Amino acid sequence: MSEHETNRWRGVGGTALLAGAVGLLSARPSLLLVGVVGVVFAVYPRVFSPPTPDLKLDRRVDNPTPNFGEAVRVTVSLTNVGSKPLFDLRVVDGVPASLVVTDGSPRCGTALRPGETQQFSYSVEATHGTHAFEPTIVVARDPSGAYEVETSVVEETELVCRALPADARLRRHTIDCIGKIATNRGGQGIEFHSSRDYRHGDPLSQFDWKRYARTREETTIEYQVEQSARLVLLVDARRVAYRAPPNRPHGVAYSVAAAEDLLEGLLDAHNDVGLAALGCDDCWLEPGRGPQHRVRARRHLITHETFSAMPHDPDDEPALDEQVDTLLGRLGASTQVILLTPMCDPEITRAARTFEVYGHHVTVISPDVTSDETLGQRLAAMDRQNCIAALRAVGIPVVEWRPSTPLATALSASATEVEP
Amino acid sequence: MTATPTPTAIDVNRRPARLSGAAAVLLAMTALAAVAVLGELDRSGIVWVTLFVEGVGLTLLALGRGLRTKNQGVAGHAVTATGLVVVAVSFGLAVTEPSDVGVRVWLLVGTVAAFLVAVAVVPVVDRWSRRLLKVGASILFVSVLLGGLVSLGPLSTLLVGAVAALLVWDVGEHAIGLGEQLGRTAPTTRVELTHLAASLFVGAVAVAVGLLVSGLGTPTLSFPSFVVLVLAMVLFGIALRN
Repeated sequence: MSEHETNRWRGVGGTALLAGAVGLLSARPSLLLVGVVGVVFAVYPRVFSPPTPDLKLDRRVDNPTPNFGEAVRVTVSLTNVGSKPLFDLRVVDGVPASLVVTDGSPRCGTALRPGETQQFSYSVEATHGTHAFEPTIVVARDPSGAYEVETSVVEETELVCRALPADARLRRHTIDCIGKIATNRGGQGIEFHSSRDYRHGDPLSQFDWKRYARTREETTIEYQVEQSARLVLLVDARRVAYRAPPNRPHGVAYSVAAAEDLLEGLLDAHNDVGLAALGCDDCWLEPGRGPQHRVRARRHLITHETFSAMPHDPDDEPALDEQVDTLLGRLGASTQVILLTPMCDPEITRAARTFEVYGHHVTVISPDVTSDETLGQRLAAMDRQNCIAALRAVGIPVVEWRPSTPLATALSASATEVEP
Repeated sequence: MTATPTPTAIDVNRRPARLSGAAAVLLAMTALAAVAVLGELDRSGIVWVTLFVEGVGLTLLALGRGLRTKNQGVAGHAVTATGLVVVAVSFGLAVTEPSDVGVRVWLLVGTVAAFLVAVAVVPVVDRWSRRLLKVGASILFVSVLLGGLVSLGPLSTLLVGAVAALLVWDVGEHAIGLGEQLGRTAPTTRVELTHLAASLFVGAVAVAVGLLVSGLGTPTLSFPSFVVLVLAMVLFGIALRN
């Protein structure tokens, strides 16, 4: 709770002095009395002490697990549970940064007697991911508005929009693309890969007995190796990635939502998945699998500081090269990197190339947060296209994701694009 | 899966709150009208005509701004321009029509002040709202003092004029603050009405105190001792502030 003076009555004493002075000089009692008005208004703000808001908040969503694109009605009830009336309350509900308000306003101005409740509602449009509501900010003023007290009321609400009706599409793509190199080898497995001459020491289970019976040739059947991939979802949460088109969520919100979707899909496909972020806080979750790891990773994405809705202080942010160096030290050999970034600056393409050079296969998934209304916006969009082209030129696949479509659509659409 | 069209997010409209903004402009007009009644300035009716013309002009400015916000730029600019012309006409009336020079100056200062207040809370321009409002309210207060100087009249209307000028700042600033923090789409009627009621109540108290003090003074006290009395009150107020 923070309290400060608004100083909105500063200078009102001056009006009293001015009126008094003019009245004195012109010897007009009536003007002197106008000075009295000034005095009354100078005293007015001194009568009150700062308000002490004591509030209870109740937030209801009509559908906590909506489908993508569905409108969700949020109803907020605010009750004054203190013993004093609150004359001037301004309430701003903590809408998650990744959601867009499409109807009504998440803000409300009201006055509440003790025990009274005010209700307001608005609609948000569901996008992918788990969206936790932020604390509601309440600003209370005394009747004259001289003191302002800012506080927040916490009511935990979550909207979960599981984006992918069929994770299979994502998984297939993941194996096609990310697990590609590993599965090109023959060995033990299920699916036929090739057959070759028998070499001493080959397992008997892979010996081709039927062929031996037919032609007396000693051959060994090789099956396709289904190796799971070890990969790290790397979210670009630098300050520059918080760019947003007008009235839309910013790039980090989209990247985090995509990371959530990918996390589920990749873990379902028995991959080792870790989490990392480029940003100010040190965010690292070792690749792993299993239900516990899944829960830990989910929590990490929702609660970790780095993924917060507001950009950080740019001074806290280490240079990108340093962050990349740190990550390179942590990534085990042959760990792949899925880089989620809105690609707002060319630096990130350099980072992607660095990972690639050090032997970590990089796939970039880039939510598009550019728009084309002004010249500057078009220029930024063109910059991004140039970055994407530069990455593709060196063989790094880039999946362009327009956030108005589900991520799975973008992934399957790019599958042909990535692998000709 | 087909692409969903991008939803249109509602704009956070940061313009000053509607109700309080309108109240501020009305109070500005009231301050002028109060002084007009005070000095029997309304004999020719020209003050009322000027105020009416300015009222029409300010309404047009508000309408123009509304149209511009709704992306009807051309119509909005046309209406705004018309509004500005009408306001200019009211300035012209204020300068040319009244026979008395004092009344001319007072009326011009007053109409300009009301115009500035409207520019701040409509707002006609999106910047400097607070500064414009402060200047407008101050000029309005000065115009009330001027009105008191050019012609003596019943004290009560002068008091009402001064109170109205102070309330213009109070209510107008409240509107701007609400606009900044909550925006126009948010429901704010309740907080605006509460604030308006509290301010009007204090204004009424101020008028009552003024009348009470004058009741004390005029019949029995000489002007110097009356001055001392009022001065004492002013100093008392300042002492309380510190």
